[in-house]
Amino acid sequence: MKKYLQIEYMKIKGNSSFKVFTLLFLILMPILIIVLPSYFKDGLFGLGMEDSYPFMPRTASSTWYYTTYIASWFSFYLLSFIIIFHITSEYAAKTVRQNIIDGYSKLDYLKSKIGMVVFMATAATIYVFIIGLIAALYFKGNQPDPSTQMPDLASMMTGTLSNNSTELDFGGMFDGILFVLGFYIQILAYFIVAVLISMLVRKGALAVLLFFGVFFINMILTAVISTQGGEDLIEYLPFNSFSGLLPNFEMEFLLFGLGEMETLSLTNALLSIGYIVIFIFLTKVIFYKRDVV
Amino acid sequence: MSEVLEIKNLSKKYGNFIAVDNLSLKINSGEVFGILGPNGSGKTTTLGMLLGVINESSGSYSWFGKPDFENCRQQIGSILEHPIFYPELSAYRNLEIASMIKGCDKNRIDVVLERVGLLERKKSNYNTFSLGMKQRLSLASALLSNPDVLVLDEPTNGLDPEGINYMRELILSIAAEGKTIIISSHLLDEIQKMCSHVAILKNGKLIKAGSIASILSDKKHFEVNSKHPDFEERLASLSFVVSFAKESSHYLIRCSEDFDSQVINEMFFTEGIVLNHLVLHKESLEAEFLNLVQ
Repeated sequence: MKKYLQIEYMKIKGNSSFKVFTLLFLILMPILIIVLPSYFKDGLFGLGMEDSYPFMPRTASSTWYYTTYIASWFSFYLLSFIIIFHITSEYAAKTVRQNIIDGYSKLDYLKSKIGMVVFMATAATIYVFIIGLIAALYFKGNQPDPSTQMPDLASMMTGTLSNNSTELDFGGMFDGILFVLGFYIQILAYFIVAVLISMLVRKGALAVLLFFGVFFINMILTAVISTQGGEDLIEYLPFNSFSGLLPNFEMEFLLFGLGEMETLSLTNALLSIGYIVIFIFLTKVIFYKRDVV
Repeated sequence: MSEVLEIKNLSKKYGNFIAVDNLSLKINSGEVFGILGPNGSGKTTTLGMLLGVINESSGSYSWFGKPDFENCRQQIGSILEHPIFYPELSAYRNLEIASMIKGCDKNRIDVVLERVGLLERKKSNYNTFSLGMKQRLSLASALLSNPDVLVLDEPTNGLDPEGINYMRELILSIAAEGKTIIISSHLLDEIQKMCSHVAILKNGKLIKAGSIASILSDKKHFEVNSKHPDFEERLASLSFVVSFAKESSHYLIRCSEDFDSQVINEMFFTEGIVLNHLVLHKESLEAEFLNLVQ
């Protein structure tokens, strides 16, 4: 596997989209997770916009959640594109065929691509863990005074304007750390989908369109199944399983408080792993069945 | 002489179109084997199947008598169609990737670059290379693992005469080391200069295979002429003359069998024709190829 990764790195390191997208990911993550919240927390240069930042860590759990939630979007839009452009450019330049002619078996080639995405997912997860850890340490050390906090939305809606002190307790440093695992499974799933689509259509622009397209198809299917009364089935759709690993907690957070954010769905995790295996198998079938042109 | 490649009833279909039709062929070690055919005859498709990038529809092939191609890859160096490398990487980095894939020693990179005359340009980016240099880099890549067999698809395609000559000398020097070379080309003159054996394909079918000497001597052509007043009419009626064509100062005839000059002379004399010009016509592969494929 080390050989495969070395070869993939040699291929990709000269690629400008790889450099740009990776740099964006590396730079934007700490800005959104640490730098901006710290400015907003201190009142944004005296403008008093403490609560206007949507990803303001209030507990360790929410810190890990926001870190992984934001990172998952970047992974989807930036890192997945690196994979798509890397694989489809190999088809465009016919270097896939040259690699096979040079001595790779089809299995070797497939292993190199799967190995690359597993490595990228692992590296991104480690980076996200480090950013989350720094954020958790920083915000725990700068925890605001509970008496100055705004009441939660549920309290406002019910008319009980009381501060919930448990919500403002930062808690243990690693509360919600399971979101990192959820992030890892989720981006691995996205990356494998990117590999599958790239090998299926073999053209960069088309692959990007289809990458978004499958999510729209998933959304349409979700809507159709819902109207047919199949709500129980919705979570089993592949992309609902992936997104369910790091769901949009905003509403739940506002309505039910922070405690709801501490769970990682085991069902979604197992389903996603199952889909990852299925998509790898499909990729193999497609790659083996077709001529390498 | 051991068998390097055996192809049995190999076919490739794309829907209803048959690109390669039931091809069977044997290639022995040490041969410089040319695969000829007009555009669309199935040459590249055949080589693609033999190199594992195109799936065969039916039939089989075995390299070195082994059914499993994967175990033979190290012994085969190849160029398929035009040169393919990573454009933003240098010649050295491209060969480094190839050497890692092949699992061969990186020290071989300088050796093969020197052999193809690109050692001084090893740090130059591939996209700065001329076509001739790209072709030579392809050959360097194919030679990295010091393979027993080289498969070269159109290695002189697009090169100028100097480039063609350089590539031909390079290939001949490699062949002189005893390596088996399988080469496809449109340049029939080049094939005739380089190859010991050829296979001629048309519409995916094998129409002729063997040593160049045997193919060219199969049906000899003779230049003949006579002062006989009805010579042309008589030529048309002679049973041993398969075809004839009038050239500037003589007739070019093709005989039904592999007669030599003396026998031809006697046969004409028996028919009451005295020849005043009888020369064995040196056949070119190009003429034989055109005759076979048309």
